[in-house]
Amino acid sequence: MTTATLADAASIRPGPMTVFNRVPKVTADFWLIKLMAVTMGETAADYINVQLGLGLTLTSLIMSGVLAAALVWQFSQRRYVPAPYWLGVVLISVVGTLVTDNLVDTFGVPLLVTTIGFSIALAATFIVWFMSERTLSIHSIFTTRREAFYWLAILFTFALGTAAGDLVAEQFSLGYLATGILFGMIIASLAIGYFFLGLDPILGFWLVYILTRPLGASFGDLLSQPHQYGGLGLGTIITSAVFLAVIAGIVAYMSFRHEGEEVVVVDE
Amino acid sequence: MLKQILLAIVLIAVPVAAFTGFEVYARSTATASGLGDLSAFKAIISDVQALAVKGDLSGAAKRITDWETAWDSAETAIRPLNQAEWGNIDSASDDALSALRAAKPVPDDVNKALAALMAALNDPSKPS
Repeated sequence: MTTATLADAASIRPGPMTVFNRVPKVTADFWLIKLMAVTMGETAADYINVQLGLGLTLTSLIMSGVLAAALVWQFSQRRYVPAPYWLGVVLISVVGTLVTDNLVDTFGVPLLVTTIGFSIALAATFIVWFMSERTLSIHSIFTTRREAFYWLAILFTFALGTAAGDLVAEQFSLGYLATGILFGMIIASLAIGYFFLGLDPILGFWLVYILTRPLGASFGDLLSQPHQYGGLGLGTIITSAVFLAVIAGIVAYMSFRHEGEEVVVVDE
Repeated sequence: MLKQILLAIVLIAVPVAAFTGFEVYARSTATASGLGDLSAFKAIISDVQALAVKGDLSGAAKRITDWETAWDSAETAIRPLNQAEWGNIDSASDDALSALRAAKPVPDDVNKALAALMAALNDPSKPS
């Protein structure tokens, strides 16, 4: 966001000892666009599911196919390019919501079970990632194997965030505004921990990554659901379309500014 | 490592505790809101009932499709407010839909199912 970014971008010249990081640096824009991507994921999943009437299972299968195609595009990049990266995040957000809804509504798996199951899956991903790479750093994703760990972790954080958010909202009968405030408070607390109390950046990053999912989802429901249920009544189409447009705008801006690009210095 | 995890747990627990305390306080002062305003839903079902009583079962079947659309699209919004109450209405809704959409709808069954659905809307806490 600063002139330093432009200077950085201009000075990026991969030499023999440096390679590009394939995923973005974590900036304020990163969190803004991530939050909007999850908000849109929630409303778009609702829209696709309710309005198109294809049924939850067929919808999930189609969207998973689209996601797979987007990930092929992302994995074929050798450096961070905003468009394929954020397309992948938006689609993971939609598919993660659909998969969790499908498990709960179609297969009757209780939310408590999905929450615990996705927590275990995420923890297992981090353990295998660390054992294989000896680091969980998101600043040195320069091999396809590391990138695969990264996206697998992202997928599980979305699924876990969806399940945990729904669990809290349903178990304690909270409305979306209250759910949003609760998760917003936890994120603020973790931010204080990171800035002032020495919370580990990588631990903090992944915790906030999980928690922005329920925050964005309650925000999306608040905007799209009708007035009578405490929403603002914008509808799922308008909410999804507006957010998609803003996301596209920020992605274009990031591409233009080369924002979020990062080089990795390889030791050996 | 352990210190970091403890720090993270404390950072999450503090706002959760503050929020829970506030919620418990707010709830003790307010009455339970249940599923919110269901009058729009009741209006559709009373239309369906009026058609069914006149013997216009195909008209009733057409009108109950409006109910189905409204009820399904409201699920995200109202289901979290009270799972059990939502389930009571939803199962009464399933009965009414299948009664009206039977190959040969039986007027008596239709009226009974619609009355049960209306009763569920009036008092969602009672399982039908």
